Amino acid sequence: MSIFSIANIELKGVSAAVPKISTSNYNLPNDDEDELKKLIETIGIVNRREASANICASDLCISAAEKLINELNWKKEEIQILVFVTQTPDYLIPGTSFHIKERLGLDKNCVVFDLNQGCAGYVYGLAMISAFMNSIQFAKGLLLVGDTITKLIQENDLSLKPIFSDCGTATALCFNKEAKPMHFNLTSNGELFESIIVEKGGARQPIKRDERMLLKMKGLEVFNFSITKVVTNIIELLAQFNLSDKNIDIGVFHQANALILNAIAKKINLELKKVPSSLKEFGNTSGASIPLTMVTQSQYFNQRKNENILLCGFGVGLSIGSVLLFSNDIIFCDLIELE
Amino acid sequence: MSAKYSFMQELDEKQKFIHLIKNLFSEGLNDMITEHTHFKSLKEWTSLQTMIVVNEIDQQYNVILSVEDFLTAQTFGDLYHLIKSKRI
Repeated sequence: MSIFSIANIELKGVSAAVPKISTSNYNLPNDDEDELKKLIETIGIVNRREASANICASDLCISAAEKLINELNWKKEEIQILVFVTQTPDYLIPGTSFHIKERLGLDKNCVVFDLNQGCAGYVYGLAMISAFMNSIQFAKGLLLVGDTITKLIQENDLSLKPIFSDCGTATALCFNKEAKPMHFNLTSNGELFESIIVEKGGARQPIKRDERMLLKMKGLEVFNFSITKVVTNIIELLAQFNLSDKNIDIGVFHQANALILNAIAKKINLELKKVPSSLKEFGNTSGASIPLTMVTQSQYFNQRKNENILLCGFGVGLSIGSVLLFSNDIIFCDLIELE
Repeated sequence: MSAKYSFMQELDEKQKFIHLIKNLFSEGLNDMITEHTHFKSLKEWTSLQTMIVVNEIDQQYNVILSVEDFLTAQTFGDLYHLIKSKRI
């Protein structure tokens, strides 16, 4: 357990971009209509977005960032730090953040770096950029979180294909001495590193001719991890600050699938009306799923100002990141659909 | 008398468990599901179905069955006994 608080950082706005074309899970090849219907009802995912060959996570994130900067009336030269969280970088080398900085036209002195994180990546990224901004007193920062996981899944893989979807997001943060502290709990279970993995394509297992990088997931291991370790992470975080489930007004969880989401909410006694979801229309978008949920459910958030929000991401690693933060005037941009 | 009661209670609990399992499968499989059914031989036994069963068992019995448990167990009766042993 690693629980800590970061002060002086305010979440100003969130935006998200998805590929324009929506694909229905009902169109997946199947031998048994009833089985497909049961699958869709259980995972809670009807439609997904798949990026075409020419769209990368960076492209989606850049679109989201441009819109956010514009809506906040920020000047690009004021942005002093940018963190890009992804598992689907443009290239293995170099990191993608350097080129993103160039493409966005940020100041040459803007600090940028990549973070290799998955479904817990939004909270890990939030912790890293906030800690950086607080310690150096950077005035403005951008957290970009996005993935095109569908590029790592074979067309005929009917265990992963119905779940994953693509998205890029941008979150604006600023230094503000009046901001309430954010409370984090970042944990990981490295012994389960093979539970979600792309084995080939790294230095340990270089890719051979006619091979491709493919995602593998051990479903039951991940499910059991989610309903045990993730729940423990949240309970530890609440306990550390003498809080209980009653102090959580909104819980935004990584959109893994409906079975996992409902099980976690039940275990921490959070009513489902406090748990907004984007699963049905956008599926599991890896690290982007928390900010995407905030954007697509912006009406829900706008009706609930000044509330305690729990964000919890979990997955690859296997790792978990939870954060308790206070919502005030967060700007949510309209969803971008990129062609 | 108490041994008889205990046997009947056990039978009742096992039947309740099998009923719970039946509800997680399609109606067409109802007659095929008994404590002796080798669940891995069922067409509906998929990775997702395993998670549905684990979730339901967790909610009803507060027991989480592991990957290893599913490697060991062959029948629904085996699952029932695993749950019982984990509850003690």
